[in-house]
Amino acid sequence: MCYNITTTKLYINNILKNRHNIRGDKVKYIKKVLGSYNLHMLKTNRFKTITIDLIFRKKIKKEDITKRNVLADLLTFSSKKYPTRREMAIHQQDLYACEVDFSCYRLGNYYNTDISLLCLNEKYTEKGMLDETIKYLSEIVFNPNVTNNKFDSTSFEIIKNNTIKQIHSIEEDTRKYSLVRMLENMGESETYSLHGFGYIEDLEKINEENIYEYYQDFIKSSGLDIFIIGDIDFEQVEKLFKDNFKFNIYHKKDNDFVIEHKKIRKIPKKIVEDYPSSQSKLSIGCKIKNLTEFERNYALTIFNMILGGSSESKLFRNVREKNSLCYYISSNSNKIDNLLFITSGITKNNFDKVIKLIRKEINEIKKGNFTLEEIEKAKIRYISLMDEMYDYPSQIISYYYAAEILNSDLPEERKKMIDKVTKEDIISVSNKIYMDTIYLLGGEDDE
Amino acid sequence: MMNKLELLGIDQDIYFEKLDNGLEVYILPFKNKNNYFVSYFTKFGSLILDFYSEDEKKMIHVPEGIAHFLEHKMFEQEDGVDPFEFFAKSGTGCNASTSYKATRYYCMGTENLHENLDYLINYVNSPYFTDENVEKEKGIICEEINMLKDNPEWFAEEEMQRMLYQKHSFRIPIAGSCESVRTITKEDLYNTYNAFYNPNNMYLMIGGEVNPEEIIKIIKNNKILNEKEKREIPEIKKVKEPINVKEKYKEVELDNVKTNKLGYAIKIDSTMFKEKDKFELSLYIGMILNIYFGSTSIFKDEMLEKGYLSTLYLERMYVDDFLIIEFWAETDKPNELIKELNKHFKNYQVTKEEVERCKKVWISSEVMTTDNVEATISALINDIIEYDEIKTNKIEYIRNMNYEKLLKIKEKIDFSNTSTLILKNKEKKDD
Repeated sequence: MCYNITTTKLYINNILKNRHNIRGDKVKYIKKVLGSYNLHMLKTNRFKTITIDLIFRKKIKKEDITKRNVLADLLTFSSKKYPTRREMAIHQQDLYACEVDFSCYRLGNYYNTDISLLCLNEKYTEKGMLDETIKYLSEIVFNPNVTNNKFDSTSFEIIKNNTIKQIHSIEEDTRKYSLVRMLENMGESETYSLHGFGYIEDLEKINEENIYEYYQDFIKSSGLDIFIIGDIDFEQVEKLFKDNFKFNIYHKKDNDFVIEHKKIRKIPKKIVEDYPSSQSKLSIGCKIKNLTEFERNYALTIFNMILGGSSESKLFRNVREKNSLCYYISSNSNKIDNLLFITSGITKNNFDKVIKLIRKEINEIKKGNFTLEEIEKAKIRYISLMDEMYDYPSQIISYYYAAEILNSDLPEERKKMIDKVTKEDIISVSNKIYMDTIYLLGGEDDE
Repeated sequence: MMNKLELLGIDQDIYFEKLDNGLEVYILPFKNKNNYFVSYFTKFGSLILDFYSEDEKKMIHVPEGIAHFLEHKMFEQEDGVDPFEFFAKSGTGCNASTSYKATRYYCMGTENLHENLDYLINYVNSPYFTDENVEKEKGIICEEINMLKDNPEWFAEEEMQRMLYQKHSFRIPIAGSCESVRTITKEDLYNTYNAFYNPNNMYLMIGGEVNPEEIIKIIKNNKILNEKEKREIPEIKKVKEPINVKEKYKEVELDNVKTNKLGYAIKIDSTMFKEKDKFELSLYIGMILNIYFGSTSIFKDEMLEKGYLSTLYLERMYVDDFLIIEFWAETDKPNELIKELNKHFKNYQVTKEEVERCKKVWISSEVMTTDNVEATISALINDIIEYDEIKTNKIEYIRNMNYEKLLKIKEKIDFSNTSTLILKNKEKKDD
């Protein structure tokens, strides 16, 4: 099968002019520094819901990862006022099906915990609900289910057992597990190899008492940003948070999120591990070094989209469509970790063939063998992603958060900047990417 | 002429028109949305394998996995430009998916709606199958099947279908097997395509900040669609599925299972309920399950405390006249859990308050859903697939649910015709 490149009209440096304005209400933004945390208020009538996100951050330590998962689980599981899971659930239903969730994840050198809440705007329920909801969120954070400096042991036991299960179940998701193992092989005990699921050996050390000590430390020493988005009243919201979120915690602007790599391998490390699966899961890790700020924020994204970031990419076209060697293949760049991954599911016997094809596609970019049209398509897709996010509250929050902690540009600025990426920029990025670890998990030998 | 309907209680208009060739069009103009979502789908999924072919003038049997294969191959176009490439020009995302009962093609984005909609209709109406391109797809699909095989949850769900049914093609995985896929020919694809991708068997849904008049004009002016003649939906071979489950109990040991799992499914004859409205019945069953086993149930807390489970989720669906209820749990004590489950269902008394709270929660969720164009449309698609029509008065249905009726329905559900599947780690003994 050969794919003819269509002769589409190229709108170089003109992509934005041909796009419509964002439909619907704009987002108005006010940031308030309230003592030790920032309150970011995003007002828009785009949504019938209100989303609140508490984002805690703290320098990562391996032994803290498991603790943090258990702690976040405990806080959202029960509280002093609602001491069982069921009572929490019933109260959330009384608040018109409000949903509370948490997630813990690594962001470069930091480990973040989000506690997020989604509820209907009180315009659709009853007056006073926002007040009640923020009080409930404050209950979750400040009034944990603790007696005599110990977390409630029933809740603790349930969460501990569930955490064990969750940690074990990573191995059931072979695609994810392959990536985890690849990173461990790339650099054991390096920050980038730490994953957010938690570790059994650390879990065994946690009990009701020391997790409460950890809670007290966590509340005091984390950086915190609070986001709220919806059809809100700025003054009312500010007052509600001032009244319900009074705490004195760590207050410093961090700027050391990005991981820089010191060692670069000349020849990639190759590891093949047995695992009981019918398909082999391939994960390739590449280190990235010495990018300029512009390259890191923009050219790298375009490079990745051309290489393996979509069904239009070189890897998808050549490894899947032309050679029928896989169902999925993609690449992902992580500008904070300075890493690039390529993942695919393949038949074990085709391992060498697939690696050869992947190397070839990377070299094609290095040699400049890609078209202006490929660049244009990647840029258009990028701009579309920026436009699409306006319909999703949590995505809007994540862009404002990135602006806060990483000084990233906001979407409208990003749309202009991405247009400046040139072919030379992409070639330059491709020469700063070093294949480091090639890892293959499981699979049956096909006779 | 377009008819104007309304999703009652949430101020969302729907414009509907059935074209002369049978295509049903639904347009949902949203306010304050930047994205649009378009779904073009046929009521043809993996379940249909035997049908009357107008082309061959006889009943034919097609290989397992044909619907999914067809979905892949629709992306092949005679001019060599594939749909991904076309949509990428405007930064629009596109994809497709196959289920037991339907195949959907969709695109979503912020730009070029009119051109993209026209193109979506064109490509789904322009099959181009050759011996060569059919052959090429087999390797890709086989890798997809292998990928799914490695997922224990996927395996469990497929295994459960094999236990529940004696004859029904629910027993067969959606994608088929590598063996069945290898036998597929371009003739099979054309036979199937011609039978089920007729406008008379298809639906088009568009949502976003759109103008319904403009949208319907584009659809009506589409040349390829206009040339399509209406065909009757072909006769499908009916298989009489017995009520009894095929297999009651099974333990499977697998290397790649790391946490033990339980699947417990009940097969009920839905015609024994007095409620003839399937949608209404499904709401009641859903509420019963929610109150007995959901997040606010006493049962869940007790089981967590006893260490009998770590996760539990429930599903319900109709398969012809059968109502299937499935429980999925991560548990090391599957048999104890089943005992407790039965005991709780028998002994616990639902309160009126619980029913009212559940109604309030469900209505809130309906309103929340409309913040998302895709989710709103997906719910309507599901209505069409399951109930042959969109349900515009869901909130009214929920409001009208009544406690006494719920109790009566609950009394009729019995846990006697069940399949139990236990998935265990093979290496567990060595721990």
